Amino acid sequence: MSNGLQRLELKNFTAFSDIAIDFSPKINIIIGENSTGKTHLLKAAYTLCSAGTLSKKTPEINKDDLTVALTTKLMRLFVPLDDKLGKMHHQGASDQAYMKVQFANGQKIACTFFNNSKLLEIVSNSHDWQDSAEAAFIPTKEVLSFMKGFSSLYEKYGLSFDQTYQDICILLDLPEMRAELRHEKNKWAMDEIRSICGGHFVFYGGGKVTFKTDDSEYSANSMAEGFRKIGMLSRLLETGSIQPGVSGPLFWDEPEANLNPKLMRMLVQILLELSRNGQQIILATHNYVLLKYFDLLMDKKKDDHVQFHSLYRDASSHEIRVTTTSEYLKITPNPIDDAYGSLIDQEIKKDMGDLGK
Amino acid sequence: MKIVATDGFEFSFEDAIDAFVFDETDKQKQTFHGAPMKGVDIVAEFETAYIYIELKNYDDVSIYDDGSANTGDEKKARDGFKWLKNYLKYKFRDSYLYRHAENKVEKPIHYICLINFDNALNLRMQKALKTELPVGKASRRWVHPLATSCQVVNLKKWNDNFPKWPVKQISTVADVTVGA
Repeated sequence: MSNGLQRLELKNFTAFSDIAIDFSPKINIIIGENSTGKTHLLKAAYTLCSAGTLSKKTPEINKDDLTVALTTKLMRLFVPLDDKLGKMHHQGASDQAYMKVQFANGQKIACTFFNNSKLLEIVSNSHDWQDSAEAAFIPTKEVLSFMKGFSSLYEKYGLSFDQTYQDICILLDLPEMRAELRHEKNKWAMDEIRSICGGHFVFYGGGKVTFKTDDSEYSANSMAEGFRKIGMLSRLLETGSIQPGVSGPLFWDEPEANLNPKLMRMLVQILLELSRNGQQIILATHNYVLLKYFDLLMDKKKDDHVQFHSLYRDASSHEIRVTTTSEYLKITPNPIDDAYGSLIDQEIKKDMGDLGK
Repeated sequence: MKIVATDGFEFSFEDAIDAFVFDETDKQKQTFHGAPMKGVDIVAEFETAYIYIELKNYDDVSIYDDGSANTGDEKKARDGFKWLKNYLKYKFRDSYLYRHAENKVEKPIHYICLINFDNALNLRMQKALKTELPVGKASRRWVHPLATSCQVVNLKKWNDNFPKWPVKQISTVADVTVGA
């Protein structure tokens, strides 16, 4: 992509005491056991990406307004206890929380806060964000079944959803991009999804969504949840919210939820193809099949690059650390494969007793 | 302690009665295989069991992507999985026959394949092999099984589960058997 997310640094922020991740411009897969901060990491990067988009859309925005906008975004994404920013400060840390992103073209923004702060403090910010592109965040749950009126309800009431749900509803409700402007791979991917689902979702605006086949139209809610999930990707491609080489990073939290293995294979093929054409993808997963499909379907001859980031809690310090590798077999630790490993241990114990022990 | 090295791996069997390269090709050695049959890499004898060991370092993990193979290269990949499974299966069966002719099948036999895949893929191969070897008594007419168990593990899993039989990768691939 023209200006991908290159690096994220977090210090004393939520579960993280000090962590830095260097992203591939293509595919990034974040794994880790529960409570190692996968979703927090995605949301932190997404929050800071929004600063660039906001600055691009409103070039005259001053630092104070940007600070308020960024603080609000962070609070709405993380929904901290008692709606207090300070609750996101790493427990027990004496230094202030620090968050920073840097993009491939050198643009960067960094901010800090302390456990009694009301607002973030922007400590470093690039002046020119004209190269910035809007990121998209697909949350774990699909939204097609409840997006009618969701955005207005979200603005008015304190719903128990974080803002990723409102953001994705807004993106899905955008009008479709003119077909001639759509990237050829968007069209290809939409056709693939349509052929596997046997139809496509139609967006009427205001969150009204139906599913149409050649001869019938159905309520979106009557469709399989996996189809609604993959339907979200198709719509983002249709509106141009994902447009390889143009759009910002695509963050996706647990794409595997409710997808059967057949859909997962197609999803990985689509994500790889989009990445080959300049789309940066950053996703978090618990799922072996999804993880393995990236390993199996990536093609180095096509310059595919998949970076695996493994979050884990250090045994002695109990702090969260990260290891990064582009080789699947070198992912360490790999809690997803370890789960299968413990099945092997059980089998050996059952079949062979004390032999070799 | 019996130490056996073959195909770039060295095993140390702390409690083995005997352990040797089963598919030995050196005519000068007492354990020369010499029959027109397939053979596993190592056989080790213990007080209560025999262990057959087959080593396979596979470069192309895509052989496992057979779930939805339907065209060209994908079909080839599907065949790859089947090929490896059959390779491991017939190695075991021929070795069993050979050992039968040696009158060395009186103890339970455990077949362990050491393959450089992740745990999930090895588990899948184990499941397929268990059915096809087969493990256990496959017919009510059988008095005893061919294989008592079958395991498919990578190097780490081997060392986690068999601390009395540690294995390490060595640089030489020459076959060496040392008794002690």
